[in-house]
Amino acid sequence: MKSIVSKKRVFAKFILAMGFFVFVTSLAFGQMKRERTTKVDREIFLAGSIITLPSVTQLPASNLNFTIQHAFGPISDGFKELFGLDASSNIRFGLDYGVTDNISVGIGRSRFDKVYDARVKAKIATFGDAQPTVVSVFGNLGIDSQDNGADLSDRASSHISVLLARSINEKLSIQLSPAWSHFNTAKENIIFGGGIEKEENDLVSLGIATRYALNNQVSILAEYIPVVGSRSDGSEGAFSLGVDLEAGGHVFQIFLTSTQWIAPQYVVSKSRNNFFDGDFGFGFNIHRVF
Amino acid sequence: MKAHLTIKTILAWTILLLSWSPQVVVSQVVETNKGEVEFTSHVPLHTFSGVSKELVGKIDFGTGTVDFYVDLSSLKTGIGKRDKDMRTTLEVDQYPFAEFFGSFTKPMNLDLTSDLAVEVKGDFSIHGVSKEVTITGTLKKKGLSWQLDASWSLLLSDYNIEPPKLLIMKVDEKQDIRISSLLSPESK
Repeated sequence: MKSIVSKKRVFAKFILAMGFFVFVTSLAFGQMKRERTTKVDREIFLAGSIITLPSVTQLPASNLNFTIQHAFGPISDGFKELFGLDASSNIRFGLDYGVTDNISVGIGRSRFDKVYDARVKAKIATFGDAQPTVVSVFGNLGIDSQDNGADLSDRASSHISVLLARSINEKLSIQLSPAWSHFNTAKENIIFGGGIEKEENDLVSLGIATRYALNNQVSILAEYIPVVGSRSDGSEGAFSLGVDLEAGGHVFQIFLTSTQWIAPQYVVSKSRNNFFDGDFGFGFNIHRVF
Repeated sequence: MKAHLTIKTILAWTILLLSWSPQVVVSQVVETNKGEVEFTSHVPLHTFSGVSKELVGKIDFGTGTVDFYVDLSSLKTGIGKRDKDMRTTLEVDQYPFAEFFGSFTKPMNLDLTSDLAVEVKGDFSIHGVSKEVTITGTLKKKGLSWQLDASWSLLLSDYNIEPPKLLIMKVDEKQDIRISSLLSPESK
């Protein structure tokens, strides 16, 4: 009996001591527990385009992005042509606007074939926190505005792509972009030395791209856009290798590329050079968000 | 002996239970998790603001303590790239919060229905640096809730924050901070 009373007394003292301790500390250290309220998605790519491929990176709502994309002639032309800078170059000016955080629309104009384009990109889904996977769809409508007497419908082209991107870790990201490109008119081009090369109305491609972050500001980029199935005569899968530089609200992309085409359906159909044969030129993109 | 033990046990359990719910003793606790905080930055020829509506705060009128914090990732300036630059500058991954913990400097008459000028003194922390600050503001009773408005300025160099650059223009050292929040009785 004595032992039970003694145990009860010890227990009561313990409860009393605990109570005082918790009570006093709760008054003395009344700070709330700090808890994160916002999750910031890890960036898979820094800009809306990788080099020529559209990326899953979405423009936030109400943000306006101005883009200059520039691709010069072949470096293999040598010093006489200042390594392609004297050659005819393609340039595209574009404006994109974030309608919501998940949908953006844009317009642009390229010098080659005087192509006006309108595009839309929508993020469909995001999976995972630490290693996010993003699924987006991208559509582009192009109109060739050359003064050649063609009907408007014959000038139209389109490109629809699913963008599947994943951040493998903090440094490495990859993207797959299966796409269907369509031209209302398949052109036939007379080539030097005789013969005709025929372009395709419909092309299927599988864009593959990667980004490797060297630090917060600088990344290495690579992309390859092989055509799967029938392709335009004489065309080659476009390959590009570049560097992403992020500074003060701008993203600068400096690259070597085997294509001078910029609108994605034109890249798929009309790129004629093989990067690994040394047929590539210098190019750059500048993205500025307002 | 038995009676003595029983009284002691009841006393112990009472204190323990009270300690689990200190608001039973100090009932005048109001809180929010949807307060608004805004900073205004100046660069030559340009001013921009960042806003968060995820300010978390608690005022305990019983003990006079004031506790606020905001997840810095929730601040939005309207331009995604600028938000990213800001998170990089503030090293948000390492120091995710801006926080204040302090107490009222003077006793207050909580029965007043007009705006109540208040002053708090305590530690403001950001970027891993804490400094003692005194902040003035107003409290106004709205039913059972209290509307708090306060503003003050801080110098980035006081908190080891390197002012970011917008191209060649450097953001001003001085940042104006404003908070506005409706605090409601603590939910039990």
